[in-house]
This record gives sequence, structure tokens and C-alpha cells, in this order.
Amino acid sequence: MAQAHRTPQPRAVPSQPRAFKLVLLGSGSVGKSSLALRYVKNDFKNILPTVGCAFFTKVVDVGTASLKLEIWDTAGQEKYHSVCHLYFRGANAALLVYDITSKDSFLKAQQWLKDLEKELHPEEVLVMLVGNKTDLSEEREVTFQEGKEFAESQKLLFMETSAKLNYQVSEVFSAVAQELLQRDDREDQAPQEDAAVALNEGPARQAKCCAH
Amino acid sequence: MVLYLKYPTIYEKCLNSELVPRVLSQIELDIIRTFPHNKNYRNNSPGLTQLKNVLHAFAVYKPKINYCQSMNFIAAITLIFLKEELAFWSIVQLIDSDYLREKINISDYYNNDMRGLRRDILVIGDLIKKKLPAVHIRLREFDIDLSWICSEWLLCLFCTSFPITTTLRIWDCLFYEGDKIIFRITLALFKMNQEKLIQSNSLESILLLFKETTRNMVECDKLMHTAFNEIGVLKKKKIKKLRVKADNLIKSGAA
Repeated sequence: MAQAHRTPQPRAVPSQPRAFKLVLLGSGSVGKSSLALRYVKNDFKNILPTVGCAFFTKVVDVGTASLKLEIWDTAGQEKYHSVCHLYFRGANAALLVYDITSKDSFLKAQQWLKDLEKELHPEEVLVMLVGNKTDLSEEREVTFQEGKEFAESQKLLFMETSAKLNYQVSEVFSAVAQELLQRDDREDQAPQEDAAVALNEGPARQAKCCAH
Repeated sequence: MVLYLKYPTIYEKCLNSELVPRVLSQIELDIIRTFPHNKNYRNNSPGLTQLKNVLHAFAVYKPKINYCQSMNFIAAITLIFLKEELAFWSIVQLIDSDYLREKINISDYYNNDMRGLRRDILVIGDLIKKKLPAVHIRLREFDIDLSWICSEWLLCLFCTSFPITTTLRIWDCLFYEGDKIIFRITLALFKMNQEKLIQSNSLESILLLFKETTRNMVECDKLMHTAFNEIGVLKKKKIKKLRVKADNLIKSGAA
């Protein structure tokens, strides 16, 4: 019924930056909405629980290029798992957020990743694992190393943040933005490469695709 | 009120029953972030305890639902006007009750698989297709899933989207006429925004259009007029049929 993957807006109009969809995922109260609020409005406050989904946009400059991030902030309560996939449609990137003071939220992040991968192919969505609340490091239950190792094992980007202290929040979004632009540029060149590959070593390439 | 008089001991019994720690901690986490700017729910206000009590009692009373984020907002609005026990029974009536003149049964919105929510959003999609085809086409052009716009309306029974006066007007109708009203109000919102929706040229502007329309709906007469006079016939039987169809779609995995 629906397209599985929404291609970023064409860049024919130079005044319109390319738009990318980014979803925030993770358990309740890990700070998904706080990260979005800090990034979009540079504010931190007591935020209402997200019911369904909240939506923000921000234009990001990456070097000389710029892009528009459509940020979809989802509900974290476990019940919402069954409806969250509705928000994944067309996502180009996901921030998989956990709270470094909660082992449980870290384990749940791994579940969210599975849910995400049920809906979207790992190659079509860029995922960053984000350990939030470094301001509460005395209560830390998940070490930096644990986060990093899990991220590496799943080929995810990884960072730790504090939405409260504004630590590395814009860096998270910038890193994702930069990677999205690079991937997009690579994709633009891809058809020619694919054609060349197909000519030279077609069957091998095909086998690789089918393995996904 | 009927329930309150009929079962004078239930509220207290539920309140004094133990709750699963996971559910309790979720409630505790949420009460401090439920309308925190309202004077009833500021830090250390007695309203916070009342809110916790009502949600606790409800979670015990309906273990299949226990607690779902969004019920905190419904409970908070109710508690502004009613004492704890009456508020509790009002929530029972709003979510799942046979005691009304017309039945409300939306308890499966809040079950673990939220199937009722998914079902009713599909029903809204069917109704829009039939009654507001131009809206249907526009939403399809932007590949918009109705859940992006409607989930919060349905789960919170509009109370986090509209100003409180409008919410109360809708809830009056809901109590009186049953859950059919949810469809009338939702269709009215799409009908009232049809022109703007057609002029919108991005997903972002469409999502913001509905956020702003609801947030600014202080004067609700036009909304009610549209809901009751411009949507056309909406029979309970028809909704029942569409719900069965939607349920089957969900069951088959097609939606």
C-alpha cells in the first residue's frame, strides 16, 4: 500500500534543502523528547509524556551543504511498541536512545532495534545508539564501553549525551546529518557503479543482494 | 454517578490493592509530567496524589489495561472538577461502560497491542475515503498514515489537543451519545481543514495544520456544527461493520 522508503526530496531547487526523516526511539523517560527539545529549541524542561508522536524540523548546515531534518519523536511506553512501526515508514535515520542509569532501557534499545529492522532494511536506515543522561554518571548502570561494543557489533554509530547539560546533543544530530549527506551523495553515484559492476561481475553482485 | 452509588466499596478496594511495581513506577513517573503548568499539578500539589490514586485504582480495576500513557491526561482533566472517587468512575465510563445511554467501549485502545486504536484509525480512513474523498486523495499523495495525525486525539479523547472548554463540550457529547462522537469530531476536523489541506504542499505543513487548528479551537460552535450537521449520516451499525472489517485486516496482517 505505502512506499517502504521515501526518497529524500529531489535537490533540483537549490533553495530547498534536502529533507531527511529521523525517528527517536527508546523506552519511556530515557530523554527522547528532551534531546529533541534541546536540539531544536535549546531548552530543557519537564516534558509531558509523548502520546503517539511529536514532530519537529530543523535545518542543519554541514559544511557548505544544508539539509532539513524532520524529527519524529515517538512514545516510549512499552504498550506503544505495537503502533510505533507506523512512524518508521520512510525513515532515513533513527536515534536509538537509552538512559545510562538504566540497564533495562539499554536492553530495551536492543529490542527497539529489532523492531526497526523488521520494518526497514539496515541499509536504508542509518542508526545511532545514544546513551543519554551522562549528568547522572554516579548512578551509571551501562558503561561507555558496553554501549560502544553493542553499537559496533550492530554497525551503529554511537555517542553519549546529556540533554540536561547540553552535552554532545547537537553533535549527535550533526553526525547523523553528515553521514546522511555522504550516503545520499554515494547513492547518487551508485547507479553508474552498479552498472559497471553488473557488467563485470554480475552474478556475484546479484548473490550478495539476495542474501539480504 | 450511578456506578458510584451502585458500587460504594470498589474504589477504596482498588486503591488499597497492590499494583505491579512496573506499572506503579510508570504512573509515578508520569504524574509529575501531566499538565505541570496547571496549578493542581504543580510540585507538591495535593492534585498529584489524587492523580496517582485514581490511576492506581483504575489499573487494579482493569488489569487488562492497567495503565497507558494518555490516561494520565484524561484523569487529570476529570480531577479538576470531581472528587477522586467520582473521577475514577467517570474515567471508567469514558473508557469502557455499558451504563450509558449509548455505549462507550474504547478500552482496547489501551490494551497491550493497542488494537482498538489501530482499528478505529482504519475506520476513520474508510469514512474519510467515502465522505471526504478530496482529503483522502491529498493524504495519499503525501503518503500520510492517519495515525500520525489522529493517535493523540483518540487516546487522549482530544484533551491534550484542544483547549479545555472545547474538550469538555466534546466529552459531554461523548457521555451522552457514545464513542460514535470520536468519529464525528475527527471527520469534522478534516472537513473544516479540507481547503487548507489541499493547499498545503508539504508533510510538515499538513501535520502542523492539524496541531494548530486543534490548539486554537477555543470557539467550538463551528466544530460542533460541522460534526453534527455537515458530516451526514453516521449510523452505529455502519461503524460496527467498519470496525469488523478493520479488525479482520489487522488480524490478517494486512494493516
